[in-house]
Amino acid sequence: MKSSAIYKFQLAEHKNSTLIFCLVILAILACIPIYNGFSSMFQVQSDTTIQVTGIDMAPAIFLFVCGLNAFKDNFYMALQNGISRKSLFINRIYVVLTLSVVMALFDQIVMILGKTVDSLSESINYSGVLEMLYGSQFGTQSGGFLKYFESFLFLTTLFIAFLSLGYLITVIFYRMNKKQKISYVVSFYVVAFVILPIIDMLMAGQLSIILLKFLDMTMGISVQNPFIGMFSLIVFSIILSGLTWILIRKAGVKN
Amino acid sequence: MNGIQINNVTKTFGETLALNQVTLNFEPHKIYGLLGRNGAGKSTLLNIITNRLFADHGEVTIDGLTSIENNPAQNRVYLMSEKNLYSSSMTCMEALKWSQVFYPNFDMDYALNIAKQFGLDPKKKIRSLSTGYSSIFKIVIALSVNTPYVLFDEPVLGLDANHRELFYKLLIEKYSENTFTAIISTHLIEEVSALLENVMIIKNGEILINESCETLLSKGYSVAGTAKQVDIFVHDKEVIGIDTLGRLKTATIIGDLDKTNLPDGLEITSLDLQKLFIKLTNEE
Repeated sequence: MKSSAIYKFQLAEHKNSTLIFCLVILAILACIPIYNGFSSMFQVQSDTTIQVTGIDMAPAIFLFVCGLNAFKDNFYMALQNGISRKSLFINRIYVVLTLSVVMALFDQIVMILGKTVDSLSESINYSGVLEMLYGSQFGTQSGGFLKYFESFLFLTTLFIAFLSLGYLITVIFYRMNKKQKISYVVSFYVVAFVILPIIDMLMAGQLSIILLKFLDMTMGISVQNPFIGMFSLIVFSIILSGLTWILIRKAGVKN
Repeated sequence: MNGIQINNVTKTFGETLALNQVTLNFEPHKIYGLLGRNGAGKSTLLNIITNRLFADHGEVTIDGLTSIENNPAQNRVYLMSEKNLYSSSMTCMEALKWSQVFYPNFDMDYALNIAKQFGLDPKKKIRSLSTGYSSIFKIVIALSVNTPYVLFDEPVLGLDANHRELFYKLLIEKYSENTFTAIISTHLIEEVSALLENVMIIKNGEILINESCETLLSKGYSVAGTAKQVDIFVHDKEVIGIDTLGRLKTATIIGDLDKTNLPDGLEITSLDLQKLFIKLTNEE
């Protein structure tokens, strides 16, 4: 009973922001043909093409931010109402799965709408993230249900990973004291924007190549196989969730 | 075993020893006063009972169930803490509704009724509440959850005299209608002393006193009279407090009263819990 209550509570915390986000994406999509219509009506920029690319990545960023904001209030609410950390964590996984599935379904709708908008005019060019990563097999509607399902599965795993990453970061920050937070942020920026670029430069770009090759290999981009990407994202999410649990299990109320 | 049992609990924060091998038992259907000076370890103890903090050593059981990470055990306890754990962006009404979801026995009608008595507007956001009304909001939930154990940590913080009086009245009413265990941690000892059945005094993380209020108060008495009379009477006794008001002097004494040698003009009253507390918890 109480366990499902914390699931409902966590989900409710995301309800309003998710609805607003979906409306904003739909509004952007609606603006494209309207803008295109006005452009052709007044013959403005008649020779240019409207490129809409990777709009289906927007939910991943949105869910990452949701993850970043999802810990403290829910953790405190759980403790206030006698919910164990274990129940909170298990129900958090259910929430992550629910949100990821819902957003992946929404993304499918966005993709169908995007392709419909694309087909309305030659000056509108819509392409999704899967099309960019895994080629035109995801760009046409000819693949039928199976391609949509494949795309749905890929996006679900992608969103799970982004949501889990955001959640882990906020849990790490919660467990740190002020000094640790400052050290963490400073060292992250120093490593990411100073040390790694210097090493990369000294290695004549080899570090970037290694990282890109790793990304290519784990996401199955060269072999054009999204299932390799899905597998890697699932493994990545499991690692993130494992680390999150290690940090949550001994977390206490802070004064 | 019924009740909340605390066995050999130790908790440290860095080098500070907050609780030192604390062992005690809160029996069902009693009102306890958990008294101690600032930093004595009262809130730490309540937080450990309710799984908000982990003890370094020792064990806490609630009706025989271990309290650590155990939903069935925690379902039986509610802590109204000094720190607000409800999301500050919520309205009070939303918090009440969620409490109803979390606690099946939560009485919404009663909650709205006492919120009205306190003058709490349920539509207000929690973040907009003053210190006093923040306490009232938490009192409303604590008195409405209907769990067997309700823990109050500084329940009257920021409350004016009228609201404090109302809280004590509602607590007694609630206790009379449907007995439960209330543990009240407060600094306003004089005000709560009439409510308490048992008193636990905690000092530097250790339990100093764990007795029924009646037994504790029978350990001494207060004597009032003219300064000269009182000075003569107390010269061979253990005095823990002296108050002087004009020519009237009141002394608080630990020990048995020998009524046969009581001089005329002296008035004897029962021991003042607050004075006893001050005496016991003053640093040497």
